Amino acid sequence: MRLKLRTPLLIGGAILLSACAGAGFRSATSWPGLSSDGETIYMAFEQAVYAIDAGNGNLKWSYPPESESGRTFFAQPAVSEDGLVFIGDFENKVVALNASTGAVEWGPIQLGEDSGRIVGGATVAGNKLLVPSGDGRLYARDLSDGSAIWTFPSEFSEPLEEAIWSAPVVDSERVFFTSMDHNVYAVDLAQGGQLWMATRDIGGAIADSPVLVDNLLLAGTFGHELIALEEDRGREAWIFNAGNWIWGSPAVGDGVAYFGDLAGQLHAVDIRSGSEIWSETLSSRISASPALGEDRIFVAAESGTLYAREISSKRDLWSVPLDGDLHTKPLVIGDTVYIATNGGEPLLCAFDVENGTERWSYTPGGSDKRCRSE
Amino acid sequence: MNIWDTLILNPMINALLYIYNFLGPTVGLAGAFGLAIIVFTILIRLITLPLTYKQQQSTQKMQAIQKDKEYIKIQEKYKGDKKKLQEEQMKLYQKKGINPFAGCVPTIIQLPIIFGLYGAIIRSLADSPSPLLQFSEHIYSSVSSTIIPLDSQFLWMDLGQPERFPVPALEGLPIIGDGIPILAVIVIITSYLQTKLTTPPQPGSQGGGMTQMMGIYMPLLLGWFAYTLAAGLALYFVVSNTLAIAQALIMKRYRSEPEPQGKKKKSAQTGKNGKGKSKKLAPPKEPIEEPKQTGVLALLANAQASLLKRLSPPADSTGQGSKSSDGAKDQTDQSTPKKADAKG
Repeated sequence: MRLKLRTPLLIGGAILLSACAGAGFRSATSWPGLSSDGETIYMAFEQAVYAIDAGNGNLKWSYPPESESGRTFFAQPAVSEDGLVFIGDFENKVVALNASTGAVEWGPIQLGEDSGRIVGGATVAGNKLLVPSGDGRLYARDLSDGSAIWTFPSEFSEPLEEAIWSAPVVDSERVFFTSMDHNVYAVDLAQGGQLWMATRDIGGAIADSPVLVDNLLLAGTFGHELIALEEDRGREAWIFNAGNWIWGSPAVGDGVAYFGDLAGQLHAVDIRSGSEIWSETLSSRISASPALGEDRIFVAAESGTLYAREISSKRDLWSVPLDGDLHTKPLVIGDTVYIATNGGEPLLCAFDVENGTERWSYTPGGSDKRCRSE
Repeated sequence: MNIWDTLILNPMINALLYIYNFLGPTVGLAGAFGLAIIVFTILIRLITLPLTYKQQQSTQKMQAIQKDKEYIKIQEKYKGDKKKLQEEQMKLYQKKGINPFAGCVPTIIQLPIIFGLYGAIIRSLADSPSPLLQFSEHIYSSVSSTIIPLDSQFLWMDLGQPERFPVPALEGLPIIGDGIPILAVIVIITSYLQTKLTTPPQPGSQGGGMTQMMGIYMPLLLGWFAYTLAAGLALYFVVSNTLAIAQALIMKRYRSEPEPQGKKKKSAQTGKNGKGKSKKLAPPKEPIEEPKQTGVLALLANAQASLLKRLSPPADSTGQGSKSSDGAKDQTDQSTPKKADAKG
């Protein structure tokens, strides 16, 4: 009898164990992707993209109308001047929506293998939409209908060895992007041909976008370095060693690059020389890029505190503890700073940049919960 | 950071990363994580070798005691009273210096290794932002971050996903449409062989029935894990099982190596006389019919014996001349039941 009972128990235990082990394989997740056209905040998170009124936090629309099994969105939506919002998902599809109504204008279009994921936001450049993909390719699509213009590397070549997780940046003729394969690439915007890649292995994966400023490309690496490459040829201008992984992009203002690292250090580095101006330790790791306002910097500490500091004096202006982790770059529009949380509630919060007073909050499905976590 | 992470998960993750970092430049990063898992498994087996050795010894002792007269007597006497039978059995085990649960220890130790390794593999092969950011919390500062992201490909496998060997002709078919789970099949076969080799049949007893059941269900259980969980874990099972089978076969071979008849007599005499090392290595106060030394100790004892024999002058008929060599051999022979000897 005991032996008979043991049989289903063992099988049941095995099934339970494999179920408890997280469906048996890696989970693919990220944090909210946030962007804005000034009037509306677009937020991609998990199974939906939300368009929220920047003034009052009311939901304008969400996409898709009904959540689709297995389809998730984390990439920061891209907004074009002619009122389209472009969204990539974790099935390597991109869709164009009407910014006012959320109606589908074209797509979803499958870019490559559905195992590739769109983690980084797309970038609008003239009539092109540049979509970075986890499958190791950068796709250029026609803004009006999503038709293919070029792909880098082309379909006839092998993709990059690792994923592209960051939105590309552009100047008038070139596209620059970073990759998890420890490199930075420059591609011809018109044809998609490679112009240069960094002259050596950067020494670490690069998760976030480069910043183009004063003919320099600045990018933070997992190899603890902030690197500055010459825009024209990709040669190293200088390297700054931060001492820990740098996940987010630097925020640049008045010739100074501000960025955090996973040891919780906030650095200010002179972009001409690459020398440190100051650094400061915050309460926890910093994975999000900081955002700049007028003489103030907004820094999201991973453990859930949003800091506002005066740049000139480094004085703390205000800070607010939130529910959930902070990985998304804060968004500053006028006199409001917006921050999305990960794993917390509310999902999106708006604060007065002057004093940190809560303006509104948004939680999908609605909630009375305030942003400030006591 | 909790205790599990500090004591099990983080050391495993970082051990894998150190090996990966070491192998990466040698073999190229492609496949280095698969090789890291293989090297890691070998290290784990080496670390747990004393335990697995003890487990086999314990199994043999348990097997041997079943032929003991006292044991048989107890079985017959308390046939109808299970509780009393268990009590008397325990008393006998104590008397003979046997821990009936000693054989379970390596199995229990395997569990945190399996779960820890599974967690380590899944975390190490993070391929989206949130898991990779979480993974960074587990990495020691001494590990080079330049190896991130790790290459999850090994042969045809993505080590972070359940393993399937792609067969285009099968596409669209149920269950095997995604490919054939080769590793899961190998895990079942090797687990079955390992169980067969390390747990000898115990006909008639309740323990024997349980062992038989475990011999069927454990391979199925591990096969199920290999089928549903990350391929890296399946790779661990395959390598670990293969090493266990090899170890069992080696131990079995040395255990069953026939010995010259003359030597046997000689060593028996030496043991009886209590001369040489035999006195020092005398068995417990009330010896059971203990199986012969196996594995590493047997190897060492045999090697020592043959070396000393070569160095010593030829033995006389009383065995005095080969005292040292036989003394070393006594360790083996004294504790070996005649039946086992006869079996070879």
